[in-house]
Amino acid sequence: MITKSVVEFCQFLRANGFSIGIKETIDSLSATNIVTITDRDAFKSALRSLLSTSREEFELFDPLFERYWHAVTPRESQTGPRANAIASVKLPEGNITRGLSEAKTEAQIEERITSGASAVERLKRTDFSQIPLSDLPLLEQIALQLWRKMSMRLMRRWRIYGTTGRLDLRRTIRHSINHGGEPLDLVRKGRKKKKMRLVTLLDVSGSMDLYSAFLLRFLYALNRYFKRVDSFLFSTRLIPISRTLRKDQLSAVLGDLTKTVEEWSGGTRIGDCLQEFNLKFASKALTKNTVVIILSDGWDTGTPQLLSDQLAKIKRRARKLIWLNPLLGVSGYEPITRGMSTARPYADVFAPAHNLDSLLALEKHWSL
Amino acid sequence: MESSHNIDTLLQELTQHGYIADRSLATTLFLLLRLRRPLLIEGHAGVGKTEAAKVLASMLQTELIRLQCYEGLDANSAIYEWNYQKQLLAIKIQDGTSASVEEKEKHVFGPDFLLKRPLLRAITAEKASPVLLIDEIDRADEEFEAFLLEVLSDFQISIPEMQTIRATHVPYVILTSNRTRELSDALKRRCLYQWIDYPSPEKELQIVLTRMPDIEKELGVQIVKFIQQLRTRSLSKPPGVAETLDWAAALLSLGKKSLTPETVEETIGCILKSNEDISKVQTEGIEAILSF
Repeated sequence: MITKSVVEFCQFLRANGFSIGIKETIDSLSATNIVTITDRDAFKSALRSLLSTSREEFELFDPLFERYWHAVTPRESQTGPRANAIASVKLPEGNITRGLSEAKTEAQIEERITSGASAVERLKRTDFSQIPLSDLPLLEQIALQLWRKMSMRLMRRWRIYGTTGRLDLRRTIRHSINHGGEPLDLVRKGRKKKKMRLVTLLDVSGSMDLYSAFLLRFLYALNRYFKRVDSFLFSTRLIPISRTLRKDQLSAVLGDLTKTVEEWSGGTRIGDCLQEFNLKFASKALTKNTVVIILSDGWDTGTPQLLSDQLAKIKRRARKLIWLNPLLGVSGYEPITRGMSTARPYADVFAPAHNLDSLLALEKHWSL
Repeated sequence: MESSHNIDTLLQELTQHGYIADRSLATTLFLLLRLRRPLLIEGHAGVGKTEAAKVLASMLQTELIRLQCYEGLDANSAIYEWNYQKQLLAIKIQDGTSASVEEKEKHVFGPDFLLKRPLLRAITAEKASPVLLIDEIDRADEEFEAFLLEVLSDFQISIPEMQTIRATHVPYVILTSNRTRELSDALKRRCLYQWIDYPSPEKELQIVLTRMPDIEKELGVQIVKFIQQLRTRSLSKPPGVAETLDWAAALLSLGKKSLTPETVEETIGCILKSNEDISKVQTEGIEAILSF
């Protein structure tokens, strides 16, 4: 009764997070006609290529396969596996784990089982400052994936926007002269592509401590997936970081930044920093297609007048000013600090940035 | 066609065609041939994903049709396009004839005016099932992926001006992806899946010796050892098998008999493709890596 064991094995995989339906089960049954179960190695490879759909599943498959089948030798399996096969397999106790090669893969399996959809949803909503250290890698992984999807959507939207074009009859006719008056080459009137540019300014002063590390990763993702982004950090002075963010590996980026930013977690002088930005960078970075994102809680030790003047300058040259404040996510918080109340009138969008969901929600503001 | 009766003969044939596969990949290819299901291959850059399709085609002595995906790939360049210029000329020529409008239309929307692109070519192959390689599917848009899924389930393409074209010989389909984005679940579930990892040192040496029969074994061993060491470092672009082979070819043509730190230094551009990686390796010291 090989059929029965294969069906049960499929159920076992499903219980371990594989997306396996009836179709996959039938497929694996048909595979048993092609590869004999006595060729254990080929049997495993065949089922693996049929039942896994990603590298993660592909690598998870082997230990699960061993775990399920190790007790069932080929000969036995033809006479029928024991009825309690599944029950014993589901509980990894005693000698059941004997077939596993490394403890590491075991850990991966456990991780896989616990990191279901609900855990992802929970993490997306958790305030960055409340996330336990152990969940950080998972959060980072989810974040990168989500941002990648978001940027794919945005890029597509812009591309479609840019490629519509009506026939340019005048030029079509002119070209047609070469062909004896036949309009062989149709010339289209291309609408000039509007390329959105981003400028991001992240506050890394002490009051932002719990958030800046995450928001920096957000900037990294933006830099990676958008072509025209100018990024800066600021606290008491302004530090351009676009070049650093362009490195391939996040760990290298973070390492480099910790080296360059000596006043990481110092006080804030938002007005002064924006002034520096306006003096040195604004003429190049700000165009009528630029969206400026400032990520800060608005704790400013400089003068409100300076802040207000500089924001007005930015506002004049840029398309849109988005102010993201992580504290907006804290219930009961009112943006009444001096800095925040100064800045508020200048912001086109004033939104929270305390968890993944809030960052993802920004997508709707990113059109020109 | 059904030349391979079992996995081990298939494995042998792959080797004869210069492709060193492990048994797991051979099993998957065997399934592909038998079940005629599309196969999705993922793996690091340069581990021989594309090569697998090429060798399959030469093994089956059939045509290899390749569709290289890119952002913005559209139906016109993937499926078919009408040859507008030719159509316009044909209309002009027909001007004086007594043919009715329907006849004229039928004529200019006939097979002579159809420019077949890879997907349509794969479906209309006349002699035998071709191997259709859809390379780097992750670079195409999601809309294209959805369309592809449709083609892969029915193996038919409908051309509004003509008719629906059904595959005479269902192609063997291999898709490759570098995982720059997630593919849709529907597509993944449609396909067999194979992850190709970097080869073991033994296998990689075997690949080098097979592809570069002139190389001294000792040099081959050194090359593979060095490359395998590099892969354990966290580089932004770790060298793939393609780089190993490039490097071996370069060293061979320079007449090198063994690896010295100087030789490596001179030819490092063959295996490391980014400035950061090169300086990272230089900081650690080539000699140190060689002596591992």
